[in-house]
Amino acid sequence: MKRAGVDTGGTFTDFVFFEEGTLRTAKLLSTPENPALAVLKGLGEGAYFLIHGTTVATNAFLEEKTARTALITTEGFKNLLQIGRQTRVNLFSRVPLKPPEIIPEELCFVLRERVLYDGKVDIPLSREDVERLARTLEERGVEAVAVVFLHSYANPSHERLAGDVFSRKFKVSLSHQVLNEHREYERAVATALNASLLPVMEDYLDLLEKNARGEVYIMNSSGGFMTTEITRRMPVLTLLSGPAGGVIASHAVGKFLSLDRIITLDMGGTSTDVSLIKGGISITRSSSLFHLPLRIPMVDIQTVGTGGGSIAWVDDGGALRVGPESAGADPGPACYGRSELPTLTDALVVLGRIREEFPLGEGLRIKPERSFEAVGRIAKKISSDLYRTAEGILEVSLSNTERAVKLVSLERGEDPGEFTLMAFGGAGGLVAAELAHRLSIPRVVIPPLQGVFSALGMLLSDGVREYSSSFLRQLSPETVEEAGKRFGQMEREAKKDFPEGALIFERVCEMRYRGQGYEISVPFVNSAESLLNSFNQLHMKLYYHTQDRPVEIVNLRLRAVLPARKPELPQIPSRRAEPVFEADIYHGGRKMNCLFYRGQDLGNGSFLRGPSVITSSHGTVYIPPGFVAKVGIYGEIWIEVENV
Amino acid sequence: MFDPIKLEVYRNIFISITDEMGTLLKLSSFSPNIKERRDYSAALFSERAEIFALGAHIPVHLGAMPSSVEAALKEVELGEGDTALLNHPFYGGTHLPDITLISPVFWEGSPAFYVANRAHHSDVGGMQPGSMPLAEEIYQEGLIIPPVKIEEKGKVNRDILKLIAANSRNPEEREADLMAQIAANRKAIHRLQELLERKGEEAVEYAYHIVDYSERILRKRISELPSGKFYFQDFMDDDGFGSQAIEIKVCLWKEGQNLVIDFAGTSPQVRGGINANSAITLSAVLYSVKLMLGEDLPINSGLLRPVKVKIPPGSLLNPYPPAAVAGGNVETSQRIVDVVLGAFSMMLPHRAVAASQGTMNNISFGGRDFAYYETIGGGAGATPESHGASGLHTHMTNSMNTPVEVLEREFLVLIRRYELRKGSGGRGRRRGGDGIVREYEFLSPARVSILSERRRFSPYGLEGGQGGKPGRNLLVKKGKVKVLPSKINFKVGKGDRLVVETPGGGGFGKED
Repeated sequence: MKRAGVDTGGTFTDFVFFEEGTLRTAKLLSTPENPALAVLKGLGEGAYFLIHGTTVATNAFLEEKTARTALITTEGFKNLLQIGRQTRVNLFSRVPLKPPEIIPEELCFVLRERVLYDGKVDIPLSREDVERLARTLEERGVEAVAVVFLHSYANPSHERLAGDVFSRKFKVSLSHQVLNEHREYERAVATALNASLLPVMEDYLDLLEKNARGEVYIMNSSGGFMTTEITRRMPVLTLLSGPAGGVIASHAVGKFLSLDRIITLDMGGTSTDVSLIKGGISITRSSSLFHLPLRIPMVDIQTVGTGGGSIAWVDDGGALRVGPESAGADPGPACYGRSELPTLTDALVVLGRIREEFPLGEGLRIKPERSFEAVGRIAKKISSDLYRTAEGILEVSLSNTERAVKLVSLERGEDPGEFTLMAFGGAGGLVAAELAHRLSIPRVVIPPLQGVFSALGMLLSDGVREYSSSFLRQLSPETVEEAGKRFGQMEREAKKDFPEGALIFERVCEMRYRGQGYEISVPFVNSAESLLNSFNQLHMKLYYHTQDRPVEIVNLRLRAVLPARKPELPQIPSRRAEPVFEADIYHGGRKMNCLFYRGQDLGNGSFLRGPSVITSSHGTVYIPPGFVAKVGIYGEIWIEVENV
Repeated sequence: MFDPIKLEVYRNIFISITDEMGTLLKLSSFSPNIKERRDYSAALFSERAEIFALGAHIPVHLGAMPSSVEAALKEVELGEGDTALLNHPFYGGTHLPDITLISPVFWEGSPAFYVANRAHHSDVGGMQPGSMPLAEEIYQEGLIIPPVKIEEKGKVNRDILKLIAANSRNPEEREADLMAQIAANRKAIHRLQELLERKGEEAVEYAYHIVDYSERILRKRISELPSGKFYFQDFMDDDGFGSQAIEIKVCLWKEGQNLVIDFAGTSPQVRGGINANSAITLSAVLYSVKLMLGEDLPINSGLLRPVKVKIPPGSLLNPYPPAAVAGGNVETSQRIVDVVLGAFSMMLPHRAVAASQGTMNNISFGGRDFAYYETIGGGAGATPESHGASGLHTHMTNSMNTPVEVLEREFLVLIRRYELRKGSGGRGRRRGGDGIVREYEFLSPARVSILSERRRFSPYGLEGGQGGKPGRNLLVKKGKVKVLPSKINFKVGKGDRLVVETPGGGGFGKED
């Protein structure tokens, strides 16, 4: 049976097929009104095993087309979502703002009930009250219900009772099932978002599954695929799966290239996503979406608002700034001919890295003279010359991006010097070598098959699901033994969530000194002493000190992985690199001669010395002076400082 | 002259270091106050003790941190690997729970920078758990620490650590939090030394350029302000010892490229602990100036250079020792913002902003071996273009709430209600935001302190908009309800309930 990875994007739906030992790619125009149509059309005849990345949930959230959802919570806490953490998102503003409230106050309701922190029932919940409220909700035209009772993670019986009644008439999410952790606001956000996405995800999957010829699996935000049955219950797990695609692909391609330490750099038009891979993909449970805390497991990605379309400007004090405003794809940078906005892309045109002889992306011809005009205006404002200004725009952009790389590496106690930078996205290859150099990253790799990179990642991905169990015991040989048993139970439960196959489990326990509010993840081993040592070492590395205090295991985390059958990546023949032409570029304040190559002319073993530029429909790669590039067996491009 | 490109590059580098310090404090500390409520700040200082980078944390710490560094430099000799610690409100501190740690960053044998972080500790001793009591003199408020060396040549001075811990109701937590604070400075030193290794003198120069940059833009904006003197005044409810209303008066005018802010006419210092030292007034002024003239500017000492602040000695805003000061930082600071923004609203009507809740509603409670402190949000003031937001912290603080599920696990208290106080926002063409109702049920006997404001005088509305509803503190004992004063120390028994209703924000413009 053929395997297919399918990624729905705003413009194109990308396909990568693996059948009888060969890999095939395709692109179709997306059908935004009903994204399943393009997916089904591209899949064509014959049975398949489909791994699909969908933005249905993300788009519904962004376009505010989610279900009419009610929040039901404990009496006394009606405004759980309005109050939030009682902070403002903009510290210095005449008009303080809060995160979006997700569910408006008129659809927030309370029930008389109360559970205490230890699970004891203080005020019992009456079934009649729930039934009465259900009738009210019906009158209000509610479609979905989020139930969030205080301390439900300690005793879910009230949520279960409410769920029992509500589920007869509405789509229901219970908070202890969505996020079984304490901190009521964070749990309420996840539950409310999940409930509001239930109907749209169900409609989408109904249509897809009714017409699909084979098994369907959906990509989640934590770097793998899951069954449609889980997706229907937990659509919130797909909410941030879009940007995860590139990281998953990097991880998968990294395995072919024998790389297990990678920093990914996905530089698009408006922003740049950075993530760290060390052995496996980094997972975080504290991401956010428009200032809403999202405590669901997802690929740990830092995003900065700097991309090829970021607009350069000079502020009141005469400092050169780049972004966060972006020219986007429309009107786009000045060189697209539809605006006069000076962007990072225009700076790269001025520097000679992007030329009109080579179209940018899908047949887009650029107008270099417009870039010169736009960047020239900035130069005048900072009384500098054109080329110095263009290099300045690049430098400021790089310093913005550098911050994101530091967040995923240095701030997590990792030295970027031990990693390889894998760069992709429209502008990634144009700046990667210089960015790596600033951060003392020794090597850059530009992966192959960039045009369908996310879809490739899906095809190469594994089945993944994260499980957690609240534990909260002091570390001792006895509790470690108990934790081991609990992990065993969790593993047995997890097997029900996957299709047939041998699962791989990763056991992690989250530990802290007693009294701390946040935990450190430590790989679980069956020894209290080793756990304590690992914990102290990590604490030292991250927080520059250790404490002489009791240590607790707070949560047990299990990552279940169903390894997929992996195709080989197609290999390319060897070839000597021949430039197509040469032209002047500017680098480091000097004019120099640069060789230009076409991607399709390169082969395994092609060797290039900087300054040179490689262009292909997937993007442009710049090799600065002092660097060399070598093409590998899969068409990947390695860039390093030239050893003299 | 500076290079406009490098300026931006360095600004990015410096901010990432203060962010990293903040993250370390949040993730590795122990008091709910630091780990959950994030009541901390981190900053980088030039050799001249001017802030050039500040983590976006708690506004009231901003203007006050430079005086901590100045005091530390004056009182102790800081060599490489040394760290000074202080909380003395008359030597660089603000109020006693705020403990500040200052370390030099040595490069080629001399200090190139200083780094500092400040965190609000849940208890530093004194007459009431939580160290936010209603007191008459500072000696009752807790342990007073002048600048001392907590770290010498990279080695922590255990004696001082033990001394501080022994004076707290939760000694273990104090010690652990101070270790996290020491580590935060170490991390910043490490990062700055790396930077100096790579960039050398240039890094130091750009720290100054960033400060100059903020100053230059602000001066330009000040010179464009309308001429004339703009007055505003408002009142604190009382000092907790039966005083009459306490006046804060301000007059604002420009002199060329300088802005003068004169507090002449403000009440003399008072008996109860709402006196605020001049560093707090500077913080409140800096915050207000940034809000009205420099929302987009990097926050640093450059914003203070063109601002001349005059405060009469011996007044509420510049008291003599041994004045009690616990509430100055949290309550009086809010009123200073109210009057300075009020005067600005007269000067720049299109940027006017009605009063926000004007208090932090400080609630602390505890017993023999535990102490807890928190603040409660309220309503924000309306502006000509917007309604005020509801149920959030305004102006000088932005600390988070402690989640109910964390609070109830760690302390013998239940939260029975935490909702918006509907209808408390001032009416008007633009409505003020609503306050909050928070109801505590005590599960064991405890001693409680409240320091709150705007229980008598409403947060003002503007241009015909109504004021927000004042707050109320209620004690429910065996079904009987008693209205409590704005500031009080009292005891509760098992089953007693405290209901705190926080003020709404002022409205803007006449209702149609």
